Amino acid sequence: MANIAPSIAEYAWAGWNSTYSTSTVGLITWDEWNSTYSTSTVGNASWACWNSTYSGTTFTVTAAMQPAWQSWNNASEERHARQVAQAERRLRQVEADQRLLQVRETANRRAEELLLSLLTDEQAASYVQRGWFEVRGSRGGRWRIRSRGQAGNVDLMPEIGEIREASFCCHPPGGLPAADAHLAQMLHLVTDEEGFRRTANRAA
Amino acid sequence: MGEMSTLDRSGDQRVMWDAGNPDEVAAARRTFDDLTGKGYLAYRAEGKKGHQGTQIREFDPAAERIILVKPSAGG
Repeated sequence: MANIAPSIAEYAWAGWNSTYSTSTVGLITWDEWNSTYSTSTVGNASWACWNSTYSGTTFTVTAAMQPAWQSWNNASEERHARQVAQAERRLRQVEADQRLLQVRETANRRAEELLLSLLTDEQAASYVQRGWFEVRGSRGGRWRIRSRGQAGNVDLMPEIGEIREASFCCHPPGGLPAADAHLAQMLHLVTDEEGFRRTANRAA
Repeated sequence: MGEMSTLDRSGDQRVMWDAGNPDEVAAARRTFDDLTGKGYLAYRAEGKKGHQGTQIREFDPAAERIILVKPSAGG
């Protein structure tokens, strides 16, 4: 194989070269190819066709392609519309939350102002600094109203000492600001201590 | 000058009246009667006398402070 192949190859290349490379026949063949495909009208037309189809300058969607493009565009638009609507809903929720927070802060401030305006200086100072104030019930009981929360925040205290005897849960309905509930608890106790005890739930 | 505060979610709604002004007294009385008719409790409170409240059932134009609140319930 090694001895035979070179002689055959050499023969073939020599034959090709002598025929197509430098011979008159070869030159004529190349000239013909060039004139046909490289710069000829036929060649230019082929390149122009390729360019117009794939370069994007004059691409036209055919009727057969239209449904696919329409479907893609519709899905994209629907997706975009959903995202916009979702973002708008989130924004409205944030704005509503902020408004509610402002309303509650204003309500809490008004309620605390009202309560403090009706407490003695000692009671007001204790409410702000210690988180509770004490009142005497209409029957003479010593009651402590704690500022944290409005359920179970009223303690019956002994005459002497700081260990509560019991806690009571009794407050107005309607989600009032805490300080308003504390005011209502105070007024209930100082005007109707027995009624408060009957109404309230007692916890040991 | 009297002031009536109705406790609600907003903190409170306030109505003020001049005891010498019949129109203002009449308007405050209407509010008082309307709310107590709906079950609100009314307390007469004197400023800075936290232990001196009094429950009232009639509007008193001479009151300095009136607090209206829904009756409490056990929690």
